[in-house]
Amino acid sequence: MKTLFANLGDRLVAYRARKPGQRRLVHEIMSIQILSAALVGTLAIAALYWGGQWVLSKNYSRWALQWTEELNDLGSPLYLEQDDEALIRLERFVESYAEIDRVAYYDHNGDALFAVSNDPVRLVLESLDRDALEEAKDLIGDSEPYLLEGSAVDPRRFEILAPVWVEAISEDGLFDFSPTANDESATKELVGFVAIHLDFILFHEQLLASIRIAILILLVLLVGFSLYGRHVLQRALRSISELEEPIRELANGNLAVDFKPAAHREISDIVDALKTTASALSERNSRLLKLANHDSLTGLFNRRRFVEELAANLLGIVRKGGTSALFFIDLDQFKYVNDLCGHPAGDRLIRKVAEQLSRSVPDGAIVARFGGDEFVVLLPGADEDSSREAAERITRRLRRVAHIENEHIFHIHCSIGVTIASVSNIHQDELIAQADMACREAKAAGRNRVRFFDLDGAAESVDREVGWMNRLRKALDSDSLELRFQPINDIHSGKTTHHEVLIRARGDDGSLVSPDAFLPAAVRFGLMSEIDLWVIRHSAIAYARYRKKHPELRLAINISANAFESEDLPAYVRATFDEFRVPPEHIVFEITESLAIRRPAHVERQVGLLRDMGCKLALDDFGTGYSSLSYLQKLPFDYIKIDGAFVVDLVDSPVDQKLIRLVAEIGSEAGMKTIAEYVENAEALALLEQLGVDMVQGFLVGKPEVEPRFATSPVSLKSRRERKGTAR
Amino acid sequence: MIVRDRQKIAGRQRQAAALAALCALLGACATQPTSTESVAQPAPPPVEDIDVRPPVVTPDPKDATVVDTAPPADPISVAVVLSSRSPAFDDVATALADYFDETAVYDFSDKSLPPVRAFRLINDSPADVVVAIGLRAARASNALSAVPVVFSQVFNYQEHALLGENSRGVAAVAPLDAQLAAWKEAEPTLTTIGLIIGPGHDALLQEAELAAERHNVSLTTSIASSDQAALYEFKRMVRNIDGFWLLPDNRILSGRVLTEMMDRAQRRGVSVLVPTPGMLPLGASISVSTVASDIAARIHDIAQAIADGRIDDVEPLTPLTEIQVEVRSAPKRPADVANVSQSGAR
Repeated sequence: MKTLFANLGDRLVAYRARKPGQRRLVHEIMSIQILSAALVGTLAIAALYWGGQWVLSKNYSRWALQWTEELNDLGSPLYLEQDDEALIRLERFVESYAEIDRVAYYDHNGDALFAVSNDPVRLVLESLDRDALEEAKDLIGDSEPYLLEGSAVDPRRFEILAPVWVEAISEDGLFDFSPTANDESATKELVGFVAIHLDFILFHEQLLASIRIAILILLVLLVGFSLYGRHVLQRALRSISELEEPIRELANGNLAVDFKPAAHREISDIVDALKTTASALSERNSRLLKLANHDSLTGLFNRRRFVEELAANLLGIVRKGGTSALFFIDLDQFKYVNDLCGHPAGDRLIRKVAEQLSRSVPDGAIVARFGGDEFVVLLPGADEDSSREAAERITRRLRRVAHIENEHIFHIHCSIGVTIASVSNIHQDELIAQADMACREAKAAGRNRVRFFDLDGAAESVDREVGWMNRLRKALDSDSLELRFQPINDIHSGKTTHHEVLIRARGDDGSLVSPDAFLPAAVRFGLMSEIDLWVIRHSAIAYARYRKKHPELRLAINISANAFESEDLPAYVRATFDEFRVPPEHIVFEITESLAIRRPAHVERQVGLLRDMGCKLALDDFGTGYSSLSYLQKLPFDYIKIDGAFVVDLVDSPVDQKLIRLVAEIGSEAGMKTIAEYVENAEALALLEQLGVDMVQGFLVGKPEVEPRFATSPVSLKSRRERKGTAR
Repeated sequence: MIVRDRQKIAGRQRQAAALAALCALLGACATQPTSTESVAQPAPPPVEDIDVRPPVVTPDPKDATVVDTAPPADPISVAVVLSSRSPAFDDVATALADYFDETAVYDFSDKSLPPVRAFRLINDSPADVVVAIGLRAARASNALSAVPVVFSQVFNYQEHALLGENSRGVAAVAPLDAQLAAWKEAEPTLTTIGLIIGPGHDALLQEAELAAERHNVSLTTSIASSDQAALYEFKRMVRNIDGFWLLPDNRILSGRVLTEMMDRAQRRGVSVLVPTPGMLPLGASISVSTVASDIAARIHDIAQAIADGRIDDVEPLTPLTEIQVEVRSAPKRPADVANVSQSGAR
């Protein structure tokens, strides 16, 4: 009973789920089938009925004629005298044929003799009328010696009247008998008449009854076949209907959906195609998932996926308690490999480290590449002791990695920062920041070591970074970051050639804060790319605002490596410049030395597009990245900005002086202008001019201002004389 | 009318008046269109050449009864009376010429010489014996002849009381035993045969049963009173027989019934033996008929006995001794007369 109600319930649900206005395929096919069957059935029944009737009416007279062949036997009482056996035989004969209504006998005068009939009422006879008598007499010797007459009222009734006579060949006729000779002397003697009354009503009724039964059977068969056809059709279409749910699930992204095997070949083909589709989608999904979740170089989880895994792990801690350890691993002096052997060698080393790292962690640990030479490891369930042991094992194992490139042997050391996640320390961004900070402390403490994050001591620092992240997020959302413009002057003329655009943010107290305070947090929390785009757009807006006042305005915009992560950067620049009518040639993009020298393919491609657009490029912070000076000649830059570290102590440092001179000479040779940062006094300015530097930037030239300011910087006597001389 | 000996005609004409008177007294000429006109008719037309064909089949010397064909020492004068000029009768008349020196032939189918007048002439002639061929001739001879009568080719002689003190007959059918022997030879598988005959042929039936017994064949007989009755009996009989023996009883046979019988027999594969080759085209398998010379020989023997005053020694009906057999090679095709073959008489 429950099953019955369940089925009824399912049907009701299915009925309600039908889409109004849409026809059901089963019903439509069934309608066609039933209509066709009904039409054919009706035609067949009509043909059967009317055809039967027609055949019957056509055959009655023929059947009646066949009875004339029995005239000899039926007339036997007239020529067999006193033959009781023949009479009995006759009665049995009449009994056996229902269509014989009566056989009547008359003497040669037409007087009634007797009748044989199955109906006693029909035994009463009247003599033949004279006309019939004379007509029948004339038939003696005829080839068809009978009168066959149908009833005028009922075509199923017939009467055959035949004379019965005996013949004898002439007395001498047999000795020379010839079938073709006409025996005129043959004698014929009329002995009487026999009348056969035939009635095919019974036969007719029986046949009609049979036809009716046949029609009934046809109807039953029609109904039966219709029901059976409906069942078969529904069963056949059920395979299609059953595909609905799996296809819906497939559409919803469930690629593991189970397709039941179909009984029909056509549906089976569709199922196979769907399975193939699901399989292909699943493979593509896996590929995409892998691309989305894995680092393309090492195959390890990437930052995004690691954060997801970390979040899931932290959720488990929240629910069930326990601890997990988060390692932040940074390779020591990895830049040496890149600088000495090139970036392919660096990539190979990264891959080797990733493999070794994966082998060094306990089962269940999650290893990810966080970016560059930074790796993170999550050890679910690890406490401080076990995580310390694991971290030391990692440093031990990595220390054993010997990487050989171009006859150089590199031993990789790493610094590991560890923090422990627990119910009381559960925020994922904070945990990452804690591990990062611990790692930086390890590096600061001399590298190649493990440092646990001290929650108490570093709480303020972490809070500060997380606070920055939140403020930057808000600032971006509310468009409240600010730009400052610091002039860069030609060292010889003292005139401003362009301004570097600098970003500022408001701190907790509302004061402006320099980028050094918040950019690390922006990089760590993935906001850098967004900040770059913000700076580009607002630089364009500022250019549009100030160019009427300062037509000679040129701007230098800093772009981080993060800005190149998306391939859309050149398109964005073009769109923005077009929007604010910024001539690209009035813009200089400053790219850090490390990014320029490594030149990943996607960065190189985008830089090329920016140059094609007309923009100029400056190599920023040159000298901080252990770059080879030989690179300078190969790089497509317009300006080289010498890092301020070489300028600050320039007066007292012969080494810095030599380095600057060398850079300036190489830049000059390569057609690039050199810019010195952090120029704060006239001595340095004079010295830089002597060293061949082309432009200067710093407080001596001008501080960063809310709007571009064109101030003339001090010019050395030599330059002044040269300018005068030139003027003369 | 054909007259062999013209010189005797005058004498016979003298006897015509006396014969006419006798005929009137006996009333035997009632079946013939007798009238005083016919009696008064002039003399028979001139004698023509006898169209006598030789027997169709030469008797088989092995089975044939040896007949003394040597002419008698004292010539017998016979008057031959024919019912008609049908070949069956004419052949016998022709054969008689070989046995008698003086034969006068009278054809009753010739309307110009009614029987009464013919017998007036016969009775006036020196004929010692009247040979009547055919029933009509036999009946007239029986009634009108002043001399002993020998009839032939009459099957139902007993119905017409043709046998009498001065009347003898020759069998109208070939000997039944020989018939059956020939049939069995033609169709060795024959086992059950049927025979339908009109009333009054007890002796013939007895002979048939004896013949059947001798030839190891089962015989079913039935007596019919008319052609319809014969057909009725045949229909019931034909289911159980493989051969049907048809005797020349005109009383129970008609053209339509013969056709129907043959048709049914053919449909059922029943072999039919008929008494005359003329019936073969209807679908019969075999015909066994009499031989004209055999009949003539038997007539001569009887006539000789009569002439010798030994009429009482002559049995009422003299059986024949020879048969003429014809077998259809393709009995299933009733219209194919071309396939009728002949075999020797016994």
